[in-house]
Amino acid sequence: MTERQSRIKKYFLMKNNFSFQRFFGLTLHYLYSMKRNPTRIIEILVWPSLELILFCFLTLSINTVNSNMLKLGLSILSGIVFWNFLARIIQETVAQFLDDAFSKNIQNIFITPISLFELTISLFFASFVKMCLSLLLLSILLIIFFPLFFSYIGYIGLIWTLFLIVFGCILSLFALSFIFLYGERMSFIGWFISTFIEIFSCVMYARDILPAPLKFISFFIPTSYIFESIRQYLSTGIFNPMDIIIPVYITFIFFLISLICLKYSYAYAKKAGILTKT
Amino acid sequence: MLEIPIRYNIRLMKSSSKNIKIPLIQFSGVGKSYAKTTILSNITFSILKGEMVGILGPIGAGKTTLLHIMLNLIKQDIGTVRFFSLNMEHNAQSILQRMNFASSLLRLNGYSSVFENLVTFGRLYRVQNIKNKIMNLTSYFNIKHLMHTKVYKLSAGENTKVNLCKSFLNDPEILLFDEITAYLDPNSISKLFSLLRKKNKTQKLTVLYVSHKYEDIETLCSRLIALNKGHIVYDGKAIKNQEIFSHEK
Repeated sequence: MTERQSRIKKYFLMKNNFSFQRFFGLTLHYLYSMKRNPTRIIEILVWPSLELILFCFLTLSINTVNSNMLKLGLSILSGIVFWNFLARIIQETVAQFLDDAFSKNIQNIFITPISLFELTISLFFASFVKMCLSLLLLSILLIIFFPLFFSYIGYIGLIWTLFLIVFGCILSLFALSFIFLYGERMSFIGWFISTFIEIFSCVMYARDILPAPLKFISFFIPTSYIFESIRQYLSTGIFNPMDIIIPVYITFIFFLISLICLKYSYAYAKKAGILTKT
Repeated sequence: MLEIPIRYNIRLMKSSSKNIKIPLIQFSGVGKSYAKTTILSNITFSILKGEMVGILGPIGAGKTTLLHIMLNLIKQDIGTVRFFSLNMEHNAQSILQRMNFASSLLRLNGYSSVFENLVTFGRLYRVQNIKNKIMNLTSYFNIKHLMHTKVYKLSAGENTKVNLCKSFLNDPEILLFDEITAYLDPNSISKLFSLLRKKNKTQKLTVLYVSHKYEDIETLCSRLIALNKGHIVYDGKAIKNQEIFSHEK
């Protein structure tokens, strides 16, 4: 690395007040708190596994009744599997943050030199690690109960997964903003946001099913394009790149709005003393 | 107000600290209200390096709000808060790196062990030789045997000791305490006070001690700031509690 490059890197890190040690410390903190917490383990590993097994059997049952309807079953199953990535990221981010609030540790965290940027990145990274554990278990279960799934989805599934993880992180920023605004009363916000967006994302049904006003809204929800794309790919085997380009643009707008929301809600939390009541 | 860059500010403080007494903490005209209730009004004081100051007041006097403003958990409506001659608003990260806080009312993360929690805070404060520091502090406060116990299983007194260990981890220049002796036995209180006196003598540690208990403040602190209904009603040498508030209308 040249001197100029190292100077730029140093400037960038200082400008963003970023410390790898703090990031690493907080990420480990969120992982430590999971390993002995049975509620977290159940939410991360047990609940998604049970849901997956249930839908595997549903798909197999649809296939037994009518083998032509396998693709319908597959589209429902893939909806469940892929939606799990997004929902897990939001719910984990909120749960990790609120775990400290419920333990009365949140003030201890905020009086350290940690920046909001480091905090959110640590939350996302820890959620990502937990989601990978969940993904690993789900993959094993899919191999056992529905091995055809991977042959139908293929490598293209990685693009959808990556997109859903990124969008999940952005929605988590909105969830954190609500917590900064209203405190620990917002413990339901992770579930609420993921379920609310799920309606417009058309996870298990086609967009055309929605009534006109909801359908109109769904055009502004990037995940609706993704699940439409998954269904199209499963039925025709064709992947249209536009189905990923359009949602990327919309996601970028969501990202900008979420940053503004987070910044102002954090400032409000300090003004209204929310952090001291949480 | 013109802000002196941090680099020069620290250099200035180091070079002049022998001759001129620069306040370490400066509150000027600080006020805070929620809706129509005034919590703090025109709070102005300064604390010098190495001072041990007690903040006393009845319930609802604004002690904890004052502490939360110092810790950057709450932003004041008016006035300025400066630490190490730096404005808290613009330099929170560098200020918070040099101070710490302990309260008997806060707990660390319940599902992590004492050791895991302390390591986390060691990393958040970028402490060198974290493990050695944790070992020394936990053995000083007699909680070494609880290192691998989950925090939610600890008693209130043990939890306070863990919080104390956390507060000493980064060798702070300013230490803030909120009702820290509420759950401590007399032996632990005397150990804490002797550590604070030692650090005050050797490292010029500045202590802000918020409490209802006048006895603790009298034992530890040389200066007393008394608050009542959001106003400073007394700032000076520690005198009897009753005498301060008896003059209040």
